[in-house]
Amino acid sequence: MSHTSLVFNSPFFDTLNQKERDDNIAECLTCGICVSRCTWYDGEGGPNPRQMVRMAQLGLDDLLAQNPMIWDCMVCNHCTEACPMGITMGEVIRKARSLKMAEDLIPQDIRDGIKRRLETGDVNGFTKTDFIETIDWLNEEIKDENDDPKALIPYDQQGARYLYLPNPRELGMNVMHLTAMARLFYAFGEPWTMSSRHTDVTNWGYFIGDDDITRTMALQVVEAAEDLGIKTLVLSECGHAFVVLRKLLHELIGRKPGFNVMSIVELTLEMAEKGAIKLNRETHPYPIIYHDPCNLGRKSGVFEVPRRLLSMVCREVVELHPNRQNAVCCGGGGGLLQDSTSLKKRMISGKAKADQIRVAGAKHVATACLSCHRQLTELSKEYKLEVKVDTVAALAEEAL
Amino acid sequence: MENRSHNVLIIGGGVAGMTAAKVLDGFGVHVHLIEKTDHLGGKALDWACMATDTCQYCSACLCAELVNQMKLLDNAKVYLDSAVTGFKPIDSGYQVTIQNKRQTVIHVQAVLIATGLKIFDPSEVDFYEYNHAGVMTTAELNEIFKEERLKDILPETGSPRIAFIQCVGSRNRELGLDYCSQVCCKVAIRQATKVLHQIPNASITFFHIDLQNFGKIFRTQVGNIDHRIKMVQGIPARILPSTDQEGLAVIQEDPENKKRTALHFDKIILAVGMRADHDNLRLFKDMELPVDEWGFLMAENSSVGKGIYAIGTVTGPTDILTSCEQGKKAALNIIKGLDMEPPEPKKYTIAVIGGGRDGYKTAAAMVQEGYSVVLLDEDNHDAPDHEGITTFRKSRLTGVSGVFGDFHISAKNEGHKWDADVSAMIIASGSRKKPLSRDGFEPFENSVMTFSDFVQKYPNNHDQIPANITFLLDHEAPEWKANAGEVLSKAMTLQKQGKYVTIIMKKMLVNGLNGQRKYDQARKAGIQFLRAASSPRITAGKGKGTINIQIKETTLPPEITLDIPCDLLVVPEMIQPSPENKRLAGILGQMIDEEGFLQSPNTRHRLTGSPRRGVFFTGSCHDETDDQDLDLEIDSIKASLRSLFSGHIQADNPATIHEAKCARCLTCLRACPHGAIILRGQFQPIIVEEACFGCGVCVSACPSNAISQQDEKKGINSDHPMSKVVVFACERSAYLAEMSIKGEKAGYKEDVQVIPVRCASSLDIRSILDPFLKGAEKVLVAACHEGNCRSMVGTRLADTRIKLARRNTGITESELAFRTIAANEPEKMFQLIHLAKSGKAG
Repeated sequence: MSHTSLVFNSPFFDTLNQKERDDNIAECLTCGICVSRCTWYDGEGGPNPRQMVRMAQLGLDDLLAQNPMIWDCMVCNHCTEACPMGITMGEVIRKARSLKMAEDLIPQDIRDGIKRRLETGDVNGFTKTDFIETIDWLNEEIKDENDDPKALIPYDQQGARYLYLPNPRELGMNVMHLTAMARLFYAFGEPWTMSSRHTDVTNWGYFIGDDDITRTMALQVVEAAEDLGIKTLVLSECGHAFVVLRKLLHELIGRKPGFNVMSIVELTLEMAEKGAIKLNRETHPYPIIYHDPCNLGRKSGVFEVPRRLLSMVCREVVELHPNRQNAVCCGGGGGLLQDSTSLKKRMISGKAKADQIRVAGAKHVATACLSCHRQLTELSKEYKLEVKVDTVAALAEEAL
Repeated sequence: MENRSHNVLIIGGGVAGMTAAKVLDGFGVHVHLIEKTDHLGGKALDWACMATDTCQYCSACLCAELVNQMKLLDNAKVYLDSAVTGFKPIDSGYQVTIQNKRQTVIHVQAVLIATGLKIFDPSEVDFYEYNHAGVMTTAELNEIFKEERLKDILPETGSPRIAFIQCVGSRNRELGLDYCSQVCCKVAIRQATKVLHQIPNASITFFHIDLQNFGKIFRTQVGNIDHRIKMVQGIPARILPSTDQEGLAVIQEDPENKKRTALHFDKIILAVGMRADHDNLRLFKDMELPVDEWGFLMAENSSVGKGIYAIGTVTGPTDILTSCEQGKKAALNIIKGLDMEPPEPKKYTIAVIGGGRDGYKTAAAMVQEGYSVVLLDEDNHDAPDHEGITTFRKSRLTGVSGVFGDFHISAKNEGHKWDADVSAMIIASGSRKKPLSRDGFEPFENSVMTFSDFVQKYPNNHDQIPANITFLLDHEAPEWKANAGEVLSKAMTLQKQGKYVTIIMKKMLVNGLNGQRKYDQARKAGIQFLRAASSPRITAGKGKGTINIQIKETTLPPEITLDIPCDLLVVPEMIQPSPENKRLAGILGQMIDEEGFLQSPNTRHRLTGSPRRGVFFTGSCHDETDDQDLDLEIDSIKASLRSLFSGHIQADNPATIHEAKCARCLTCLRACPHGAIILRGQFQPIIVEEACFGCGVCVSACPSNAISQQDEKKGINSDHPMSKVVVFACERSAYLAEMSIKGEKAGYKEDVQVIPVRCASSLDIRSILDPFLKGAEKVLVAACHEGNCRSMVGTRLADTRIKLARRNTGITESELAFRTIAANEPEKMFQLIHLAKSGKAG
């Protein structure tokens, strides 16, 4: 039993309450709609969206900042998608996580990752030397398959048209994905490059709601890209990076960057639609489920691009129900996946997704976010879904 | 008076339009009633009867009766399948083009718009799984009830699981529908009650935001059911089709432990709200009418200016009875706008009983209407003297005799007796505010005050109010809507002056079209609203503020106790029926309702009337009313009085006593439910035509057969042989239902004779048994549901007589049956007749 006191105009309350920023918690109607929409229910842990908003509304800053719920939250906005007052949970939670009082509960992995990213430019502490060694090794492998020097992975190429920014996993556990992306760029036939100075698409500052850190991390990317003089920054399939670098970048760094930003999925679709590459639908002669990553879909409004590309490389795109604006989070959002201690929780938070996939019936799942990809793979194992999970871009590469 | 040169256009044949048409027709005004569909009745006609064994006072059946009455109007022309396609102001009013199969151009002096509403379509949002067979709206459940097939749509398992989800398409700013639809809580609670009546072991969960638990009889109805259903504060906006055989799932907070959990249901009912019918916007634009941002017509006192009036749901969410009252009010406004001469109002004296706010306001309005007023103040209120009002203070009403137009009231004033002759009576005696219980707040006497005291102590001197004020909306009693509205207004004033305001509530009553918006503004302004759990109770202690309130806040984690430090705690008074109500009801020959308020909940006479013609009620003595409600009640009474004094409302078939046969036993006097019988000379009862409703109770009750009605015995006790099955059907319910049985079922009529009766109680035992002597094998008496009889006692009386008839004769229940039914239950009527024919009437 604990006592807490109603506070008027608490510091946190005062930082919020703008409808334009969707953090207008003062208007909460306590209708409970959000309570019904969080897909993490039953089992251990899990957020209670209304309780979180109410703590903010009633000025219970300490209670909120020190509540593990704000770290369980997947920041997927599914809860507030239907909010009658237009409150957006993602904004409220990110700001709650940024409170000084919330610092102690930041998951250790995220804390460490941010530190490494700020120091080395890579969330895993991957150095420039590590990068060059990895790419050189990969290029050796590529040479065995393809003797065209254009098939190699270029880096630090001044004036290239595209700069590809990978997910750290593509330089570690999942280098196969990077070589697949390289084959895509090779097929596009336009000059592209990677940057040894900056190799990480992620931005965990966004997870902890710290705008300064988010900005610093974004600038690391912007400066590296501008130095190379590229025209278009191509993002690896990563949900939160898409939000930060594609949707928020201008606002975040206070100026228009000297390049366009696209995701690899968008670029591949563009190439396919203008006929620069040919994709074979029969490469995957079976139906494939598409999972909307929350950051890409609900938060950025990108629903049709990945579907259109997917429909070009398989027999049929299978929809989960619900989908698009009302899609269910994979269960790993909001930094949950980045916390190595979260596996047990994520298998609860992802149960709704697993149920959806089981009902949909197909045996293949595609998504356009590597975090979702990993979570879905783990869900498949845990819930014996026996589905194969791929990213849309990877499937497109296979269909070349 | 009967001036055929007055033409009025009414657009919309729902309850509001039909009520206005009926009143205007009485005044001899030529009414053109335009209806876009192929039948009158509007949305209310789609509603099902909500009766269980007894009436639930939903008032939907009244619509079916109104539709029937439209056929009987002398001066009204009904245009079905019609639309207004041209509208042009002319010198004397408007030139209107009506389009149906042909085009008609008419000239009217006034226009009444009553085009109604649309029901929210849940497929507009994609999270209710509305395509799923297990999900339906309250409107669709109504259809199921009408078709009498609830059991068909539920699984055969012992305990079907049903959820009601409130506020679907209401109270939602993001959908542009930020108002409360007013009726959905009542609809859903009554539907839940009806479900439980038909399937007693159904397991019902009721998801709501703030159950709008107010208004006459509704609190009682909620009280009758809330322990049988699971109430959950919080509405789901995601229905999950389940992966297994568990049915549909929704996630909500378990009220016990605040854990979010999946709840499984066989059926989910969406309580859909009302929205403006945007199809009419073009017409309104052509007519240059003001429309609010929701699409509702902005009417001021039912007028939108220039001889155009608007009523009913086209002006905002409204229930059936209120729409009817608005119809009466608008009709009066139209009459006045047409400069039709009133029938010498000075001739008539109106007695207003009650000298408080309700009484004084009512009395002043009657004076303004031209009537003389006698105001009887049972207390000693400080209402100012007012020209035209003769006030008797500290007077107790001791007796009422006579009938409409000629009442005689007597009263006592501190030992003095006085009496007066009046034409009509309006009871406006108000309610009582029970003083605050100080349980739990004793040590803080100086920091705790009632809302009335607060308003009195700080009328304008807000600078003397301490900085931190907490209001309770409910304390040992449920919220009262007028109080909730007043507190909200006060809180917002205080907040603007820099005070910190907290409101502790169980629920927010967002009455009126702008109630939700006001509540939204209050939160946005920073007023804190807390939902206190029912248990443990609110406590007070010492703390940071002068007084530290402690509550369990239902939206916070369960382990937390919330402290609210404040300087001043303002508590509401508990509003209660006056202890005098029982006595007053006795004198007036009226009932009190289950809560103890005056006036029967019977919808045949509400909102303001009574079974005794010329006796009306206004204000909190009989219903939960705020200022707006009171104004409407007064206006509607003004309309009724003018109709009455103009001689429009008469018994269509009054009874008469044949003095030569009369034994003066006075059975009739005791039996008459309408107080229409008076004594003349040596205890000679006579029936006053103006006061008689023609129900025939006296006819059947008279032991001397001394009373008769003009068109008595249509088919009753005739010499002709009768069909195998004879049905006596009350013409206000069963007979209307029978007439609505659809064509394809017409074959059922073979061997069946349906005889309309004025009221089931007009049948004496002889009439009931007579068909058996003329060849009938089965007799069914079909009456109104208990509580819905216009003559109050008809249902019970008929039931008793039939039991008596069976006992006296040995006739079985399968041969002589009694059933209750409403006008909007044709399928049930069909089934009853079918059962009677097949020999299973019992």
